[in-house]
Amino acid sequence: MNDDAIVALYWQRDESAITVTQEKYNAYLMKIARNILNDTEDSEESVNDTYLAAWESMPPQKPTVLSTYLGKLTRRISISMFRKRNAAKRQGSEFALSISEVEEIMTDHANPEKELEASHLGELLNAFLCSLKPDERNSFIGRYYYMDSLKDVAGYCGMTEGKAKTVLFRTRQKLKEYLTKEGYEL
Amino acid sequence: MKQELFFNAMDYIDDDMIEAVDILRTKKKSGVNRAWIRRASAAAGVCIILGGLFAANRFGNSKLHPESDGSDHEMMAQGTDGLSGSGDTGALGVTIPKTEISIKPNSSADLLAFFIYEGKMYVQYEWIYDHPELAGKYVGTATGNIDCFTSKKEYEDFAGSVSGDFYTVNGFDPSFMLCMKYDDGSVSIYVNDNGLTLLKGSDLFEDRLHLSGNYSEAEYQTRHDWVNSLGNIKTLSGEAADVLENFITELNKGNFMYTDDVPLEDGQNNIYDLEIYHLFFRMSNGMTVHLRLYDGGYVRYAALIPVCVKMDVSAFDALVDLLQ
Repeated sequence: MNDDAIVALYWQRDESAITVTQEKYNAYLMKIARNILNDTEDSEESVNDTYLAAWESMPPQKPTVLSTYLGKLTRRISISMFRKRNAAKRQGSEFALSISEVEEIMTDHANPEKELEASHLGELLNAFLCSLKPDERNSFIGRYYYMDSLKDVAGYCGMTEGKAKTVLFRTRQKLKEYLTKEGYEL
Repeated sequence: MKQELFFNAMDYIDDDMIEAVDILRTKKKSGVNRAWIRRASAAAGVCIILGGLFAANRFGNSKLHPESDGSDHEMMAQGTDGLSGSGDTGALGVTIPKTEISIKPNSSADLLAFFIYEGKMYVQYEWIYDHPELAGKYVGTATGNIDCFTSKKEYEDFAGSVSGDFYTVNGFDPSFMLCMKYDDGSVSIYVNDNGLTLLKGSDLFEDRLHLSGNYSEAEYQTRHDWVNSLGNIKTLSGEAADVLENFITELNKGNFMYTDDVPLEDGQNNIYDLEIYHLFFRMSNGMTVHLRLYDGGYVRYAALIPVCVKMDVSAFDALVDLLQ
């Protein structure tokens, strides 16, 4: 079933929408959740919460690309779950590794009063990402949005793992410079 | 904490950028079949990206047309006698048309790692990790600037979806094959098929790939095993040497034809329904000549999806019997 038809089922309040979504996207969403939670049971819970969130949000939402929409829900739910639960249990997750990588540009001691809202920082990130070459942008989003492993990122970006590491390192440094120039206090 | 703010902020980046990466990561499979899957997808009529040909321009037009909608993939024979593409290769062989490139959001375009040189598109074929000597003379530097956000004026020589210096491949025709090399000694091979005209199997397997006498071993895998990335790759024993040599001899004698012209029976949708084995010739220079075998004696080089060779069935079956 194509995505438009699935979204239509949600709008018709037809409960088979969830079954169909599960059949088509469960593996895809589990991958996103596992990258963050590094735990099958928690990931299953996160993906189940995603189906519930999809049911509750459509309507009014009518996503044009269902996979991205669902992936975004899973990502949010999984990050939220990660924060609520014992982080020590998941030291090996790609999310934990991703956090440690951005520590070099985002320190903990910033003045909370001066912190920009996530949406504002998101706007800056958008502008920054648009300025990058495609392989830089794709690897950055792969690593820090999807939390994919370096090996996976390198694979689908058509580069070696070593090159992916270098590209990500340079991109993080560029981001640091960019945010500083834009007046974002690090 | 600010790190958490960063990951929250990533939630606000544009969907089209996320979707572009999503296409990359979901279409690409892990394991050794990665490059083949990309090419197979493109050829299985899915040709979302590489569509059409310069029918009006025939030979000599090296300009790529990014404005194409990439919605169709057709091929036609070229030459003075106007070959029809009906399966009769004629005296001039079959010509793989130049491809138009159209990369749009929500397409699978980003699946291909490629760059453009002299108006031709070189597509990634395989990674080689332990033969840095394959890389020859420096040819140019790919900018890696093409993706779904790229305007058509940027589709020009040295543009592509990957960036980096590219080189000739020692011992190989640069109009057919180029490579990129990396600090860790690995080499990535890129193959161009645009405008390539092939008559006999030897035009490809000997003149361009130098197969005879240069492979160190042959391995094979069933279609089912390959599709499911099960990794059960077996080595052909030395006892198969004669059969293998005869297979190559007959492969070289066989005529090229368009893949779309391979006859199908009722219930078969495309050539993939005929696929039975994958055969890998491990070359002494580190490369792999990957052949796909189809029931009825059809053989395809994995980097040249639009065409295949129809070879002598008895030599083909003799090898298949061994694999079974």
